Amino acid sequence: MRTKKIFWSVAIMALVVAVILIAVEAYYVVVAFVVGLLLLGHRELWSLLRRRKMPPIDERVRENTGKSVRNGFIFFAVTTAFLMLPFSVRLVEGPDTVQVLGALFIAAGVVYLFSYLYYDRVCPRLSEGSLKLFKTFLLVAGISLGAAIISIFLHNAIYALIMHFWGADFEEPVFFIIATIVCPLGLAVGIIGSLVIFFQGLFRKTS
Amino acid sequence: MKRTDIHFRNKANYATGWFTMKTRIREYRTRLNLTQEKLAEMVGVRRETIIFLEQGRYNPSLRLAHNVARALQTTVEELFIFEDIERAED
Repeated sequence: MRTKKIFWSVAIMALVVAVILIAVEAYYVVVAFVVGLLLLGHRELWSLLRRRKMPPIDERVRENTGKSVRNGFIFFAVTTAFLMLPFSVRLVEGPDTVQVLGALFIAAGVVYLFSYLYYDRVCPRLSEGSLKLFKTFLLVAGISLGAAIISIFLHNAIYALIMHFWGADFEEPVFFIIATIVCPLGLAVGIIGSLVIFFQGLFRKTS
Repeated sequence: MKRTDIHFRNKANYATGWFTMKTRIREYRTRLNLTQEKLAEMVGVRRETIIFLEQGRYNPSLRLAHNVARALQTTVEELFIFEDIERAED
């Protein structure tokens, strides 16, 4: 009965949030919100419709939910901290603040959703080799993203220093190529590779 | 009967390195003519948890291991067999 109460509480809260989102005309957010909730709760809904009872929230489900909440929170905290940096503070000033925060919330929700699916279904179905490859792809994507940000900063810093000391209009080429060609390529390879392995694991059948 | 071996890194005591966990849940379940769904219902977990336990892909808590053993009318030692592996084999 406990799980049934939780389910109905979440359903009512989701309905209230959906009504608020419709009232502020954020229709695309409503669609993403509803699709995400259906993806997460489809087993509960199916069980409720078929057997009129909820599947139990066992220790595995609790563990996976806890890890996913942690990942979503870390993502939200890191991206918010990044937006607080002096060079990106323009993003959160002015009338766009609500949109930026809304996008961050949605992104944190997507991180939660993918984390839950990963811990609950993908990870137990993948072999050791595939798991290692998946983590390598994620690492490549993360390093590319970090390297791109650092390269943009260094490119601009070198350009500014040369302008300051020598007064020459010199475009620094190395970090420019890393930021515009190498890093986006690495990011694309990392994201596509990890997504392919993720969906392979998600749709692999268990006996 | 098919046995599944899985390696877990023992984080609490790294010096012990890796160990292998073999489960005999499927063997005992079929002996008692139980379906995965029925066993899940008896233990109070989801069917997927039983599937991953049978495949040795989930490291259960002591309480869950005890509950599964009791449902299958056996002991934890009979169901879950842990074997140390030499670190040199990694």
